[in-house]
Amino acid sequence: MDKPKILAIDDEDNYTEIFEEYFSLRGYDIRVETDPRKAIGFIGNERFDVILVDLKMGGVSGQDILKKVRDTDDRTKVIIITAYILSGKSKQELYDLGAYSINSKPINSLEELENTVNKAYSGN
Amino acid sequence: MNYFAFSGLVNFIACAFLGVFVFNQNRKNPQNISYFILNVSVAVYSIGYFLWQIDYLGESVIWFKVLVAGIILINPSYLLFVFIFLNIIRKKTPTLLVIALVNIFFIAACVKESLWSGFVPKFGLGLWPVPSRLFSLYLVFWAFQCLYGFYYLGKNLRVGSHKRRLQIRYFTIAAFVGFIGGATNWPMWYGLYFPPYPNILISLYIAIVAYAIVRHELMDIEIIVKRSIVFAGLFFVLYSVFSLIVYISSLSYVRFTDNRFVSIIPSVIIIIIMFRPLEKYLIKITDNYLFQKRYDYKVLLRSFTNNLLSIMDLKKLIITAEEQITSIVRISNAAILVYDRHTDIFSLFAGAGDLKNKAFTLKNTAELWDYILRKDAYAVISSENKERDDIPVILVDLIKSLNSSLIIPLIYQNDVLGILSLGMKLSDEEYSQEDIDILVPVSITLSIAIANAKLFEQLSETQAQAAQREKMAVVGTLSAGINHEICNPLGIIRGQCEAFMLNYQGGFYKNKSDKELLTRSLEIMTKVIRETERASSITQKLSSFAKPSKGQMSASVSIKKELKEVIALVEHELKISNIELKDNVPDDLPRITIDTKQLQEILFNLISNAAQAIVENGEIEISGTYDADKVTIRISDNGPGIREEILKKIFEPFFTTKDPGKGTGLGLFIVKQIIEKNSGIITVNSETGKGTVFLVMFPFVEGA
Repeated sequence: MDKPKILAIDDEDNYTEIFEEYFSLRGYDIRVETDPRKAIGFIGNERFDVILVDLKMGGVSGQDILKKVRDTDDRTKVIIITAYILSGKSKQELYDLGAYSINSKPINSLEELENTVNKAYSGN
Repeated sequence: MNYFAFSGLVNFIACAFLGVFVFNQNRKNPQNISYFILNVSVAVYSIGYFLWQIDYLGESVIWFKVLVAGIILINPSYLLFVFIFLNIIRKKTPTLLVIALVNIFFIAACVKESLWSGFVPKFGLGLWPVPSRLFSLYLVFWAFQCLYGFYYLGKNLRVGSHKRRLQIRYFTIAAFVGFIGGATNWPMWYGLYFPPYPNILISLYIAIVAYAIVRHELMDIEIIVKRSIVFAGLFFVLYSVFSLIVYISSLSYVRFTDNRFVSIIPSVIIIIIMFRPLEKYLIKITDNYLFQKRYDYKVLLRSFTNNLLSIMDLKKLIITAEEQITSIVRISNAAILVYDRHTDIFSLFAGAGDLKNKAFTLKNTAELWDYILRKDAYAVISSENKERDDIPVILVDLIKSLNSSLIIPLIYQNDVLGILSLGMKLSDEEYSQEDIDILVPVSITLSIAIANAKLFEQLSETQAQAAQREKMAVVGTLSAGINHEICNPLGIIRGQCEAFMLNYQGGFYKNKSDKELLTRSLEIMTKVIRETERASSITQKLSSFAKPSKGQMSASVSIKKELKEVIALVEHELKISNIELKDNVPDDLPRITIDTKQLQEILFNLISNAAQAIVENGEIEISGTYDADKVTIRISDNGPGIREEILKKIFEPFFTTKDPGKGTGLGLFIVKQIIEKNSGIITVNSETGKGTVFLVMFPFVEGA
């Protein structure tokens, strides 16, 4: 089974560093970006299978990413990772915008995250 | 009229006046009666002296007999007075009766002219007697009586209260002076040339006694109507002046005019001119020197209403009240107990010297209040009262511990507020009804002041609670940002450690040397520690900020420093909404005196407000300026601005433009209160479409 191409967007480089090492060691093609504005830029140009994104990053929010993805390539699965405690209504909005799943920070487990990424990719 | 006649006349007037005055003060008191008799004797002596010297009606011998009768009467009445004055009359009565009998014998001898063998002119000073042997015997008896009286006076010089000792001392001096004055006449009897000029000292005796009466309440005479003293003094002085002038002009009238009445005119003119100024002068002297012991109740009332009613701090109020009362009423000590309704305990708030340092409290006071209310609002404790049975034990204990002479309960609108306890007056006087009539309204004023201060305390507490609630509500809005600031570090910590572990366990580090792995581990640990500090810093700031402020002012507070703390709390939230926060406060902004916590609250509130106004994508700038006496903090935002009609109301409590449920509207009202409590001022300026500027000004003192 081939591995999904991943884009991880988080304004903390300590996070993106983790994802980058973890996933690339295991053979995923992963790109990380700490500036969400840049990320929005190349989402249209490059294709990603799965996007990991934080919600509130100042300037560009997770919702903006979702909308961009929906507009450009709705096969891309977006997994939200956020420290925010979201209300049911907000979560629903995100799902409506096409979010695949919503995870909380601190991330429960990298392994779990990897599972979710694969599931998203395989279309479950 | 020669000098000696004059001295006799003056003495007569002085004695007569003072004797009648004292008698009038209390016609039933033996002391007053005996003093009257003494002065009558001296008056008889004096008038006889006067008439003898002017050879009135040519009957100087008869007047001389009157004079001597007066002398003989003086000593027994002197002794009578002394014994009554010293309260030893009972046991001295037999002795006194004997002495009286002896004196009666000598009066008879006087009438029968057995005390002398004739009259001769001596040294141009009029007719003087030639003493017989019987007279010499009398002289010895005379001296004996004098010394007898002085013996007893001397014995009592150190007995009794301070005031009493003063009274005795003054009378002793006065008597001594008087006797010396009179005794200077004796040498002339025996043909020794000694013009008895000191005869006028008898008036000095009167003056000393008068002074002791007024200043030290000799014979328990309270000088209440001072006008009589003033006019008596006035009359006396004027009469002396008049007499002197008449005397002088009578010497020279021969030269100027035959008419005696005309010669009196200069004197009359002088008297008319001098009357008013002399009266004013005498009133001033009597006010300043003779009535110092009376406290000026007007000062007390004024001081209480003007000063005390405006003191809102309870402790300071009580301490100031106690100081004022002690100094104005001139008492040795005072104490004020304040009642705490919750604990049902009276605590000593001020006064009572070193009792203040111990925790003096009064419990189970129901009995005390019953007693006080039955006695109608106050309790006077005099030495008699101390023995009474119906005084509750707790009151007796209170009196003893506080050295009370007067206890006044502090009641306001049926609420017990405390107890005012007054000690002895410094002048040793007891508290009179007049004192109580003044002190009760004063204590009511004190009760009002205490009730006010307590209300203010409650109000401050309520305000403080409201401010705290408001703060917590706003802090709640930070939750997103703060949560982010805690969870991210935690996530990083967990992620870094877990990644390393999983990678190692998954065999992905097979090709790495131990050294590389060790270096990597150390890197991760460094990150863990840094992120931990990041998270704990924000939790510390938050919990510190969330604590209620105690309202304690600190001097030398740096606005820049406190602002940095607040920025640390809010910046994450602001970043999420893409609001830029600019800190342009200069480093050299002068320090101010303020409660640091409250300053943070003020800045926090204003920045939050600005952020909420902007909602998203905007800028908040904080800067500061200063001039000679104040520091100005400027918080500006480029939000939508506030409309003019709303701008007027934003500091009102419960005014809010937010949707229902989204804000209590208390924020700016409380911010304003906090600022004003710290002696500051807040103003606002706004332009719709452009933004809003808040200016907060605090005073500062150069070099503070």
